[in-house]
Amino acid sequence: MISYRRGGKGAYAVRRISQLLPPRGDESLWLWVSRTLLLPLAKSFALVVAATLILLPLDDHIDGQLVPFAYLIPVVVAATRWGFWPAFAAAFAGTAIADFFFIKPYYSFWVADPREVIELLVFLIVALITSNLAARLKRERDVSHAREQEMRGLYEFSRQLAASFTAVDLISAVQDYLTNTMRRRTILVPPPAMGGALGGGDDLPARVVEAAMAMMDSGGGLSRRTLADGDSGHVWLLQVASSDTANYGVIAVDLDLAGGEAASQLEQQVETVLAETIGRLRQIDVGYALSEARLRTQWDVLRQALVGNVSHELRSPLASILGSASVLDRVPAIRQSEHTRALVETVQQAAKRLDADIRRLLDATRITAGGVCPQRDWVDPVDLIDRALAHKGATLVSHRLAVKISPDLPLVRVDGALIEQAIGQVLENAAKYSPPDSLITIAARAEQDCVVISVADEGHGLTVTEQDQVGRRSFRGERSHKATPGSGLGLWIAQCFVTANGGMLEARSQGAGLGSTISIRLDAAQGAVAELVGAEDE
Amino acid sequence: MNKSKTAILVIDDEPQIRRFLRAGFELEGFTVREAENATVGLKSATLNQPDLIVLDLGLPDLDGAEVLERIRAWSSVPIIVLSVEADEMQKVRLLRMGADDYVVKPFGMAELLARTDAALRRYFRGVTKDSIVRAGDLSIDLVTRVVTVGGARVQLTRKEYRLLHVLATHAGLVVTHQQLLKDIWGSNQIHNTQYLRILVRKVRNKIESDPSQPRILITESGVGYRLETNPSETKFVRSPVLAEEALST
Repeated sequence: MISYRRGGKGAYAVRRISQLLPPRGDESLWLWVSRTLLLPLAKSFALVVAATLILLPLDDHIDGQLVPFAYLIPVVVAATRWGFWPAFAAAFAGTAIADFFFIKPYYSFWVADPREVIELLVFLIVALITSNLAARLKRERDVSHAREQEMRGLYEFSRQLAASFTAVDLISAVQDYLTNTMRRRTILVPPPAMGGALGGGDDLPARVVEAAMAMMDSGGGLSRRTLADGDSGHVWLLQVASSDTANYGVIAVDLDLAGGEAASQLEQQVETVLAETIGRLRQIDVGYALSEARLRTQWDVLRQALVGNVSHELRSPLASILGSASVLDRVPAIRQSEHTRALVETVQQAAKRLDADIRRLLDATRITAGGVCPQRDWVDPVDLIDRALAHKGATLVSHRLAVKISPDLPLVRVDGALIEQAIGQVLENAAKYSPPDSLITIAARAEQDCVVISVADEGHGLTVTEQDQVGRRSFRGERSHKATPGSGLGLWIAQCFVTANGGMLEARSQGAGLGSTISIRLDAAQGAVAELVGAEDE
Repeated sequence: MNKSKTAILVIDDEPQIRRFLRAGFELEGFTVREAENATVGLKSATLNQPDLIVLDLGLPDLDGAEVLERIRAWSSVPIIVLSVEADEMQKVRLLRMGADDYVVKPFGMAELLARTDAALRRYFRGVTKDSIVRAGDLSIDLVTRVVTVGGARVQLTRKEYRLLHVLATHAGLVVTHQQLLKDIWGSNQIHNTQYLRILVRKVRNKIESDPSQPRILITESGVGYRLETNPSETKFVRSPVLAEEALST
């Protein structure tokens, strides 16, 4: 909430500021003077005249000594409504008129009876004291009224602040408050990226704009300053409106005063309002980040539930099928018969393939949801290839396989499980899209700062356009659509896993029908092997 | 060991899984008890004192890891964990908590039997006092520290022997990277996996017939290493061209 730094003067300071408010908008000085000074005087005189007009017909019926006291009424009314000076004027005017009309000799300012001179003097003194008292009362009422107004304005402002949930709302609320309640011209200078000044800033002095831009450029340096515009003599207060994550521009407030005590009080007041605004701006920002994070967490939970559920619902029955088939495979009676053995084999193979497909779908879901977080550690590339071959061995049985691994390969720092999976997908792909009995060569070699693991087949090959598309989700070579079933996810998953580990997957082919080579490039440990060979043993 | 007297307790909530596990184990001559949840499982483990427990992690009433912890609080009975997820971190955690080994669903009976045999052998080694561990051509004498391949003695450095020794005492079972690093280099090197990778490569050069396709010192990705005691039982058939091609390079 708004907190004011109040000096000893307290409410007085507030009042002075509100009294010092300059002419409203386009009001000229003359109009202002007549509004605040001449009009009340005229009204006071009018009251005195009205009192006279009422008293004249009654003159015969009332005691002349009471007349001056009837003139106390306009004096008190003027004092309570317009303050001391109109009342002061009314007191003298009343004295003069009473003397003129009601005290002998009539129609002259001369007083015949010395007693009546005293009466008139007593009236004047009473009138002056009364007007002073009434005026003080009025002043106090004015002060409390001004305070109330001020408080209501602030309350309204803080309500608006609390109700602003976006930075734009907030800035327009503060602009509104400063312009309408405090009557300061307030302009938002937006960041350069968003283009020219908003909020009627066309006639903003060039110096102010320059200073605002400089404040935004300095980035986190100066966030608030005052600036005297030499041409108009106005003092501007500039406040950078930014939070930790975003910059909304600079709020420029025209203080319109050259200096002095009142100016510094006003400046303090505007500063307080701005500080409050910036505080709220940060809050909004934090709130936004929080709700963003909450949303992400909810999405994460949902995704994990989905992946976990699919994994459980589909893979559990498969585990029973595969397990049962593997037991059957060990039963002597079944093993003895070629037919039953072949049947069990078929069940096992089909179940394994299904499991691989589900695994692929789960992997794809994980990747799409951004859930691949590699646990990187030092791994021997030899192991990666060996494990991939072990997993995918069954799918490679109808092909000839050559393994060419250079000796002394450097280690790579990757998530072994992910890269094995990637190599496995590439191998499976090679087997799927090349004829039975053709040769599949898996090789690994060191190359500059990389280890390159490549799988070459003698299959359909790829055209130039297809080479670029390999690794996109659901890409499948044109010709293979008819020939081989598949989801086209395999290479995409491989690509994603390799990239997640800081590697690269490339496809090369001499052309259609000439086979293709998929290479996986992984960053190698620099000279680590030689060092480690020395370091690891005694 | 006498299998007919070896009792296995299967704790799994899925009846289909329990059914094939019972069939598979009984086919090999084991006695099988079943428990469909953790409560029954824990009770049976206490009352019947099984020789080995096969524990599923996805139990309805209690987290499998919790069951593992409770059993380990009073018993060193071999425990093999059945896990659905291929989550390496989880495997390492379970092994650290005292599981002897794990099998990831879906799995074949052969794989589970191999783990079971290895775990039982390790558990009963104290009784049989057999100091020699064999894995294919390789034999490791844990007492004399003599390592031979096909009868020929192999010269190993101290760390190389230490690696084989740790793996041999867990023959057939997985040993985590952390445990190996701790046993060989001490607990302050527990994160330097690269030392282990290089040491394994050197040991493979001495004991494997083809170090690029290891059959004895097997990698368990993201988890650790395993000394395969029955290396002839390869998991897939390799085409004969493999050897020729490999030689030609």
